[in-house]
Amino acid sequence: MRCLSIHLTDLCNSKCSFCVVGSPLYTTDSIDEHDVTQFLRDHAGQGYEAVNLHGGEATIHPRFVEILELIRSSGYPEVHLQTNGISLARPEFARRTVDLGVRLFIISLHGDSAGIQDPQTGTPGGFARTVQGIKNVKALGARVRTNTVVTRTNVGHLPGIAALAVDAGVDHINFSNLHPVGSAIFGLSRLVPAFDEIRRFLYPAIETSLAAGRRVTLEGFPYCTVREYAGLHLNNEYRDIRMLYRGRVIDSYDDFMNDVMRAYGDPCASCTVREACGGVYKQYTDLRGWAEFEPILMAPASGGVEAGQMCERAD
Amino acid sequence: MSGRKHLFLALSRKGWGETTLGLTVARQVRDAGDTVSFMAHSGSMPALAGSGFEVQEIPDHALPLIQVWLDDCVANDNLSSLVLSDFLTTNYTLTRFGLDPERILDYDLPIIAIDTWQYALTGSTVDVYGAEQWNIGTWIEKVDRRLVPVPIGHPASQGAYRSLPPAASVASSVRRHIRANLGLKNTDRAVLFCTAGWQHDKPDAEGRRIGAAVPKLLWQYLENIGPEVRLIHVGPAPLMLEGAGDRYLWMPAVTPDNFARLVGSVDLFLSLNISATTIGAAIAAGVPVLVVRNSRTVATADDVGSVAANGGSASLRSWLTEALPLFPFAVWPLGFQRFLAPLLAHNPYAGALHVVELLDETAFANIARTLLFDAACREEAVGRQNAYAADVHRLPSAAERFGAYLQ
Repeated sequence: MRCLSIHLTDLCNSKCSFCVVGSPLYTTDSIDEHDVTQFLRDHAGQGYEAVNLHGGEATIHPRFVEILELIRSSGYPEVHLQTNGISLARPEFARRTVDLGVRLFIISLHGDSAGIQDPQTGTPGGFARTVQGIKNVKALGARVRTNTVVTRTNVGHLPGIAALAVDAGVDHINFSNLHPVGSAIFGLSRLVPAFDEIRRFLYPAIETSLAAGRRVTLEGFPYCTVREYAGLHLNNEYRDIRMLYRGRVIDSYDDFMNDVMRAYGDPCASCTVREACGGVYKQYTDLRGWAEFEPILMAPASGGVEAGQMCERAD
Repeated sequence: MSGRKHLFLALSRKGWGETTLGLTVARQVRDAGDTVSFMAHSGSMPALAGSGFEVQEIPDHALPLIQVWLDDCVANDNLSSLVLSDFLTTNYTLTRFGLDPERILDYDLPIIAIDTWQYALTGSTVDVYGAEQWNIGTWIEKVDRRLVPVPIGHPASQGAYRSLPPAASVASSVRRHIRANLGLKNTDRAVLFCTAGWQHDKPDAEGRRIGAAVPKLLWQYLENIGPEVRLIHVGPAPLMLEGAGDRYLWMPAVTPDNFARLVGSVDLFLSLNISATTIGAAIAAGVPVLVVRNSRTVATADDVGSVAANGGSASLRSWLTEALPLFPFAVWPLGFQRFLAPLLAHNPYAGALHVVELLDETAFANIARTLLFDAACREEAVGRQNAYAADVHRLPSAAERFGAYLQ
């Protein structure tokens, strides 16, 4: 799938401890709206199948509606919206976004209760609104994918998060390996769990989701750390994501992640899936080293997995 | 664009301080319209990441070839100058790999040396691990164009330029977020301590012993101040601090932007290296700085009485059994005490900071406690640092000095 991916704003109404773009570290927005509108106009009519908006929290951008209108008038087939879902708790806002072409909502769900989610997002009351937002857009017939960043706080609750998503009618449940940049670099050892602990809770969460007939994907996990679920990696299928990020155009998001954000270590040398895997987040190995990783010497069975976090093929 | 091109040599292998100094100069020179590129050791690459400069990376195994590359650049790149960032690391690295650093003087172009240590004052003999000496060469005397960064240089020196970051406080919302991520409660007090690779990789037994022992004593001191005191450590590897538990948090190195945010979010910056560029970041952030040094040689337990009040506490004496013999240092764990003494004498930089002797446990506790808990003392300390910073910011910029050298 070909899609444009736009970092619309640095600002956010949550303060996630692990925010990958470091939104809580920004007090003013560095994004020039002209860059965004020009990027959309420059790529119109070039076969892009979707525009993915993210941030920060795209829905709090003062001209969010106008951006959606521009996307629609420029002829892009659909919009994917990455959001914490808080704005969607207002039914009229949820309806407006659907009316303006948002077909897929990728909603952050980092806990199975307010007690787990809200301290991580620094947003008292946020969990209840997120869950309401999910219900609102599902009631409008939109597709919903949840995204759960696995942390030391929520790792033991992954099965509960999966159950909550299933109950809320979520179509697709994605679990993300914490990317140790942005906010997460401050106190990383307090935030990021080890992979053996992750597996202990992630695997039951996957089973819960699959048993309920939901689509499940994994993002950013080194392949050897979740080798039993090799078919679920989000980047298994071809995708072509062109991203605008803080004034910079990244031609290929996947290449950027592999070449700039991840690294290979000694265990990767003989691994048969190293290219697809892309390696391990550098900051993680700076913290914990390479002892948790080992080469996969047999090619894994492929699984039917859709395109990625930044774009998703229509169901 | 002026059309002038400059090549910066950044050959520091285990620390970013010298490269960061060069990077600051390079940015100013670029902003003035010149073109800058770097030839940098792999160990310095993280400091240059995202700088936008063209960088030729030199790994260890390629260092013997650097003379060839330099010859080629000088012959073909129409350079306006070659900048040593800094003199010591250039001399040290080239010498270590069997090259003749003085050959640089044969190039027919201006050589500009960042003179971090101000050799006109310090001389060329460095005390290391107490008894050892490094002779760092005197060929800098043949380099007329020297840039003296202030701090740590004397502001009145020839070539002195302002080398403090501009004042930059951290927004209260950002500070709250970072402190929450660090696991700090409202009543906690955070002490930030930084180490570089060269402070961990100690080939010498003396260095290894003092390298391991001194942080333990500092933690012992901090722990005794109160349960609210937390130690945040940024460095390439964690410190082995027995019993510190979650009151000690280690972080791998962070980018300069994030370091500025971090230092602006803590309550006290603690350093065992009076020359550290990180101290400048703390001054800019308005965070009080406490520097610890050791001026005395303590060879045996019998000597302790002469250096510690009442012979020291039981815990200090216990620590000394592990640490002895203790040699003087201003730059832990190497030494540099005698080397830096002339530079620090009458230097307003030293006067702007709280500096305490390692074995003066009472002074450490009193100063650290007041800087952490007494608002008036914190204000006085930050005020003194700010006054120093204001004087430094009246000095010429690196670009102004640089431009004058090339007229």
